[in-house]
Amino acid sequence: MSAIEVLLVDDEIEFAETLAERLRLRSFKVTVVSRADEALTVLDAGLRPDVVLLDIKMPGLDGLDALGEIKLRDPDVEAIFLTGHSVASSSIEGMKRGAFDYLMKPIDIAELISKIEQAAEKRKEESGGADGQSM
Amino acid sequence: MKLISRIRGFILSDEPGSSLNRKQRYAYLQRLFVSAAFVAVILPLVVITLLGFFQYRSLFERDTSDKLRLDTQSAKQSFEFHIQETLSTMNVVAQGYSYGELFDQSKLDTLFIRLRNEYWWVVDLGTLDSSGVQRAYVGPYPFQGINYSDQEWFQNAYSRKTDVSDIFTGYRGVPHFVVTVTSGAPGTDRYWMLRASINSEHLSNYITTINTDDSTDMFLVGVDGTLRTQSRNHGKIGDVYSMDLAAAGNNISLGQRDEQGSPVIVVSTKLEGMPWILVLERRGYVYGETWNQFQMQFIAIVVACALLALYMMFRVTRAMVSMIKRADERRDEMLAEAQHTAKLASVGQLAAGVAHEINNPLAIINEKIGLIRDLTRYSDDFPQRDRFLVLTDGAASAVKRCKDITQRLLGFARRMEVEKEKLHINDVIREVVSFVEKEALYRDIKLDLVLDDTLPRMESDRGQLQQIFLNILNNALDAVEKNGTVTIETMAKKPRTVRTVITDTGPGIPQNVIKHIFEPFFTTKIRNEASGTGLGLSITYGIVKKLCGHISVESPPGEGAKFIIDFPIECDLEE
Repeated sequence: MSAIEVLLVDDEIEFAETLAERLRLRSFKVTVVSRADEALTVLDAGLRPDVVLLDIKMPGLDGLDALGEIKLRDPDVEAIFLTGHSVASSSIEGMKRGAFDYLMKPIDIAELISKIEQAAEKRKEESGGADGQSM
Repeated sequence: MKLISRIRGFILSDEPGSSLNRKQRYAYLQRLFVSAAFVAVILPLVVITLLGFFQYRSLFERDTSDKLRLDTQSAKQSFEFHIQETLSTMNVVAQGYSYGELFDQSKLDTLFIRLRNEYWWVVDLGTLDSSGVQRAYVGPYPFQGINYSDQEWFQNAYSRKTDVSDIFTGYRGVPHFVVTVTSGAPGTDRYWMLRASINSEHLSNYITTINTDDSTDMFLVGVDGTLRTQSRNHGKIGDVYSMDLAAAGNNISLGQRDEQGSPVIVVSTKLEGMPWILVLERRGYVYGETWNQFQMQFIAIVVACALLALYMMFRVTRAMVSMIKRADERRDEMLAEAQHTAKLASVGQLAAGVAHEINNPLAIINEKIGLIRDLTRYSDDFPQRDRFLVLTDGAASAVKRCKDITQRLLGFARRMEVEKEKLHINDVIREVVSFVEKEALYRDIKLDLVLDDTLPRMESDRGQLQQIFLNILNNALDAVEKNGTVTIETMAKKPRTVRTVITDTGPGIPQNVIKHIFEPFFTTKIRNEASGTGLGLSITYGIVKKLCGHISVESPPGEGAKFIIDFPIECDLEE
């Protein structure tokens, strides 16, 4: 089984880089960007992550709007919101827009890994099913 | 109008900085109300009373003066007739004699006897010639031959033909008056003058005869203003009569008072052909008893009415003032509650901001610690690995504690999603009680449920209601000692509200604590105890508000605490 590929979008660079390193230690392939538009750029450049970890509050395009753009580029990608303030309404809105789940900062690494794996599993199933249908 | 606008201004101007404190203000307000009511009620009553009193009195005065005038008229006629009759009889009898016979002593004797038969009060009789010499005389005095030409009565009779003199003492030294008739032309040989004298005592006796009313004083006054007959109230003959009768034709005098305060009504009239004024003086009204009774009853009724009005005014104004006081207190309570809510809301906003700002660095710390742990764990040759892991575990646990606090802070301040359902509040309470009943049992605390099973179902969030009741119940259980009681009651309240009251038998909450009890981080528990962060009641407050409810706490001195939570049956939880 190949490594799960994660795109981490968070304007808190210290947080993002540290988390990325921890995930890499656990054999995930992680790309870190600090802004939503950078994420779109790397996607446009051909990156196809299995799971996108998205901060909700960011300068420029926020996490919710970024999710829409990301889904346009890759409808099957799964997104998990990481939020620093428990604005449940934002998180619910994220879920409505097709996010896989959300987690509150500070996060528990075990919980995050579990969610990433579930999301990746889901993506795998869905893209497999879609492939099946197209065949 | 000024008074009304003053009261109005006073009620409305309850501004801080007013020169009067509340108590003084209510006392002043009551005085104002009573004054206003006094002006509106008592003054008209007094005016009507006075009008009625004077009207009724003038009626009595008129009645009395009318009767007195009639009495006077009747007495005047009687008096005038009495004297005129004597004069006429003298005249008629004298005309039956010749000029010479009238000067004949024996004839005059006969005439006197005839006259005395009819008019026994005649004292003597004399015949005078035109020079004023009394040429014949019958009577008890030696007055024959006396010349009366210098006497006033002689001169009056000489000029008027007949005359009734004023009372005088004369030669005999006894008060009397003289009636005179004349015949022939004055100054001629055939002229004569017949005079009879009558003691003034007769007049007094006659007055006593015709005056049958005990309350009326009837007497004669001369033109010089002194008494001619005895008066009950003004003294003996010759005394000066105090009232001015100068204008004495027919005269009525009203409105005087005697020393006892009784009304004095005087009617006087000039007697025709006589130098006297007849005076009738009455003290007290004709129907004096009725008047006195009326006065007593009238005063009693008016005083009773005034007292009743005063009492009612006092009661009504006191009720009004206490209504205003209650309204003020309600307003104060609402104001205080609004301020409290606003304060909690701003504290909540601040807490949310702080929590959010702390969360991000906390997340960084968490990840850094996590990475250190990861590196330690994944490195085979890391010296002192175990000690490092213990240290990072300690740091991670501190981060976890901080996270819990920020989560609670956010929970207080912020809306959380709700799951609306129709539920029975009693069911929720029974569930919550089932969570804590074991603890209560171990600690010998009695849990009393007084639940109204007729309550309607309400729209709310079961989980959050549980959180509310659990939190308050835990606080109550913490507060009571062994053998204490925690009572949970539910009841219906208007309008369409369900009330839950949780009472404990603990030591209660001091008043200075009650003010802050719903503020975040306010706690009376010792810090190292479990869940002593001081966020419990503030979160409860936030959830109650979110569920459209209202929570308040009371703690009368010497009793336990009482939490009162009201929820409407319907609540728009989406708002």
